[in-house]
Amino acid sequence: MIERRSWQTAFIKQARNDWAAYQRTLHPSWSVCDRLHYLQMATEKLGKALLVGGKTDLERLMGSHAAFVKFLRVVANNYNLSVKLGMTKSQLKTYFTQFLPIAHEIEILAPALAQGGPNPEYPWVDKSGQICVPADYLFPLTKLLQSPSGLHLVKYIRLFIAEFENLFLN
Amino acid sequence: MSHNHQHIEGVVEKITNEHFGLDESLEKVIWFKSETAPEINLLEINPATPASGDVLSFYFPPSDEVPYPLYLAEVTPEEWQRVQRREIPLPEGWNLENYEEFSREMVTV
Repeated sequence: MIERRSWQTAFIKQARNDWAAYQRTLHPSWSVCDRLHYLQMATEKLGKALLVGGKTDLERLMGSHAAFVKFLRVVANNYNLSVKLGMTKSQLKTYFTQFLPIAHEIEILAPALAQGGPNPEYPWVDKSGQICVPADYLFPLTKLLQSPSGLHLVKYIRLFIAEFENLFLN
Repeated sequence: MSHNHQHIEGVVEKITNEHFGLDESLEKVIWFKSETAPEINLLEINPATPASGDVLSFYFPPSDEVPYPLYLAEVTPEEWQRVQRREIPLPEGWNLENYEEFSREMVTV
């Protein structure tokens, strides 16, 4: 049986790859759907990198795209992070809880979680019966990511991916 | 002052007002005026953001609310001082010789 630590290493490596791709999509020549697609992928792998080290059922975790919101809930209780940010346990929890609505919106970008609705990969039919194309769609999440909370969250995602070993494996 | 500049200025003030209203810890917003293209470059100074030692700007395409390309970045007050001392580089086209500063006291929230 492959050790969970090996899975963690594998997932964080892939998260770093997806984050690098996300950063390339920050150039205006890329579509919003590409940017969101890579952000969703990076955060899913980041989430799995942490969760796979816990007691979560491995098979269930592998087959699911829902990992980022759970990841943030765990992070909100992380001792190393509270020390790094100079926050008490309750301050850390309150602080990271504010990001959960945006994290949820990122998480449900995964087509399997989008319930046949807006996602950055495949066309879908909206409530009026119109076929929508990700490349043309104005994702409401974009507005959330422009907000101060959205900017904070994306910068924290970057920090978590860069310092994953120090924050979560020690 | 051109009509276009006045319009961009109005949009910048709207974004700035909105962000001061959304985040109590936001201290300042720096508007780097583009000399080459009708775009909005904003740097938010916020002690609550994680320090990263660089200025990573995020691009948002024009929308109904912000009809210009929008580039947003966020740094801590210490990082902003380092930017001003030119120890941390700004994104291409952002010029320390041509910016306007918005503080919480200047805006109506």
